[in-house]
Amino acid sequence: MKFFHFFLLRLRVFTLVASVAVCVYFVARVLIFSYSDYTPVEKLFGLLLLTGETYMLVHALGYMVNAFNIRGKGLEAPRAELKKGGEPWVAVVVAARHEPKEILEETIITFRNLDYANKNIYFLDDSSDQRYKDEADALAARHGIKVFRREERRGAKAGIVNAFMSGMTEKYLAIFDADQNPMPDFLNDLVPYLEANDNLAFVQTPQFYSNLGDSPVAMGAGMQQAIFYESICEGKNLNDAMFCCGTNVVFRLSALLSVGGFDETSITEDFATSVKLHTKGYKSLYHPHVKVFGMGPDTLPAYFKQQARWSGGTVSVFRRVLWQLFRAPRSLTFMQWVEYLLAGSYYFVGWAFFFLMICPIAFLLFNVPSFFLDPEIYIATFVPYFSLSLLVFYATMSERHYTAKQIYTGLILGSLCFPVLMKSTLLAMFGKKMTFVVTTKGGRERLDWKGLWPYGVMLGLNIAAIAVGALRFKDNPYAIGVNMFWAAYHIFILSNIFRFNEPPALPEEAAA
Amino acid sequence: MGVTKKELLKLIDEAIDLEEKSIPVYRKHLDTALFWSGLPTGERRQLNIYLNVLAKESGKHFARLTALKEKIEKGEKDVY
Repeated sequence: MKFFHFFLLRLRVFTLVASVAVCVYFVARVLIFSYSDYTPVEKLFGLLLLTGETYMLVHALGYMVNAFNIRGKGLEAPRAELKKGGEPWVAVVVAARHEPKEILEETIITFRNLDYANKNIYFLDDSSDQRYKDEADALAARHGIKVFRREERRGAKAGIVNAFMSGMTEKYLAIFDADQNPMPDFLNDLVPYLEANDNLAFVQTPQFYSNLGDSPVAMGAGMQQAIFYESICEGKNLNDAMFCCGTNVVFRLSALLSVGGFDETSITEDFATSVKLHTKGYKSLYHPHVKVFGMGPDTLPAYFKQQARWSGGTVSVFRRVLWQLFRAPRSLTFMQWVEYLLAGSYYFVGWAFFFLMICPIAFLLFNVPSFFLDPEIYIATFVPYFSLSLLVFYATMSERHYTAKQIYTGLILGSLCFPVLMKSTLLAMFGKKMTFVVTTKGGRERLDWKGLWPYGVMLGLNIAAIAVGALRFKDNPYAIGVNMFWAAYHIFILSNIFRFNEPPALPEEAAA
Repeated sequence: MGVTKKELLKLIDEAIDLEEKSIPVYRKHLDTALFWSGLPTGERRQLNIYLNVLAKESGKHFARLTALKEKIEKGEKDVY
């Protein structure tokens, strides 16, 4: 923290300088790529590398803009005073299908403890298995809450919430996932924002995981959430482009009904519906305080399944956003477009990582160059961009008390998701959904060799590339040395798959 | 408007049940809140001690409600 203090005091200056460095490096790469005289195969690899780098540069620039904009700005949204006993009615709902009753009961308990007079609690049970239906009925009877079921099953979570909304009498709708536990002041804190502004469609709060200590995956997934819900969401909020994240959110019913309810055609109905609400002129608000705690995935299969669903859904909406941009460019503001395009393209990070990984291998094993910059230009453009971007990122996160090790755990886990993200985004681009089969061993989920093969292949290729590079090192020390460095870095990242694939300790093991 | 003995006992039972089940849920999440707080280890340890005290205090509340329930059960009064 002390190390970053100097930079934090001058953060706006550093973000500006870092943004300029990003642009300079990008221009240098594009110019030299365009004017280099290389063979078609070399150009192909050069294009792949440039594509991967462009993705990283655009998203780094997006982060810089957000970090610059939010500096020194507080939450300024107006709040209405709620009259004691005259608070507007809120429907507090949890939608679940075949969820363990213990997890659901904890959530219902926290609903009952919400310190807000005018609330009705509903359990939207979408289970088809009679055992889960019976459990839902027993839970509802024990806690005095209402169970809602629908006649015809369509549209997954969006479908059951829409079916429920059609008979709702409450003004607001608070939605939670089965494992999300709101703190008692959740509604008292959020409803005043909605009461103060009739054009505000929803208020979103962060999603923080409580099971960080369960496994490295739980810690990594928790850190990824933390990175997203800090500067990134605060930046989106300033640009009135904060989208709903599906849980820990309070909606104005009339706003939702005006856009036809939740979008049932997308598995990320929250993201798709947010685009519709913003297009209709509604505002959204991000409340940057942790009001809800929940449970994150604690095994690689569970984490990959979550990421496959999020990425597939987001990319399918991204396609629609691109079409809307082409068809009706004035339907959103410039910064809303920027934020939606950044969010919608985020999950292509798997492809970017893969492109960055194969280019050093191609150079070391097959002598196919893809990075056409001279050493002097590389040092003058890449080093400032890379070091300043990292500095701004780590400084802003360290200011919020995250350690470098915690951040890195999240980044490594995100990088290891590349095969899943590549497949899910590719399928989504062609309008198809990815199915993810979870295999279990000894009752605890972990990836078997079928799930590990992409890592084995990439590890083997990187090791071979370093071995060949060492033999050829004297031929071209600079170029071979730089590529060997990146291959070694990728080996380090890939080798973490074995650490993350260790299943979480059972309670008796943890106690021992 | 009064409340019958049966209704009152039911309300106390519900309060005991809710209290008993709520404490572990919030306790689990508060541990994480401390982790995310960025406070130094010493301060986190101290806050953890306070939280344990509060959790024990809530346990006393549970004991008082149970005692109240027993008292009402043994009493002859039917409307409160």
